[in-house]
Amino acid sequence: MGITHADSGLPRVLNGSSTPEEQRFDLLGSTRAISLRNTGGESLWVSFDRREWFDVPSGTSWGSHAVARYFWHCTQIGETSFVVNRVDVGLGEDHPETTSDGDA
Amino acid sequence: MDFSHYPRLENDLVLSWHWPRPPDCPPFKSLPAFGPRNRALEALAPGAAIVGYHSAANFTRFLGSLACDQPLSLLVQFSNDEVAPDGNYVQDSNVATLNWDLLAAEKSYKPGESHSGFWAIRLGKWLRVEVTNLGDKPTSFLRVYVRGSTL
Repeated sequence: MGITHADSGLPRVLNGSSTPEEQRFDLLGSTRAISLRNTGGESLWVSFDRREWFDVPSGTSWGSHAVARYFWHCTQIGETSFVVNRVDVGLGEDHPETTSDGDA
Repeated sequence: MDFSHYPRLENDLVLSWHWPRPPDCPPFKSLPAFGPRNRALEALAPGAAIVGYHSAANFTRFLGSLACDQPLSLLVQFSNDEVAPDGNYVQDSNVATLNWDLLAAEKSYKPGESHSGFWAIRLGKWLRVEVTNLGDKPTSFLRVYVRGSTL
């Protein structure tokens, strides 16, 4: 089994911020599952094609076993922050060494 | 893998004016830095007002506090307008033109007053907070914080 099994993968947490300007958030091609949590005070709008959008209210999250290389995001007014938890498959060689206390 | 769906925010700061501006320092972990969120750019002159806007839809209540070396007045207002007067959807550029007809909280503050807190239940989709310097000198010390409660 190991980390190359289809159901395995290493999580990577990425922080982002969003404004009314539509921005693209890039993921790796090996990403097979993402979760996204709006950690700010404005609603976060998310789209995979810039045509259909869905909203993620403050403090809530959205996740899927989707194969996506990127997504688009914006707010209606003001700014918000978000965190992406991304699971990549088949990775290991390019990950930093983990120290004895768990910090990378 | 999944995040909690419990709508709790660690970063609940909605509007803030902190004068004199503190030095910019790295924030704790992944919280956003305070500097860009601090709206105070200069001392508030006598009779002058600061105004902040924010969407209210993600919160059930708003709470905050005042501290200043000059007397202040505070207004907490809401709007339920779905669009601006010109029909366009609400944006940063037109939010000031909405009909701010819902006065949710009003407060007078005197320097040194210990009862400097305020709160308001959400009455509309959009939030407006206005603070006016009622004193005869520019503010040399100002703290205005508005936080949102999601619960």
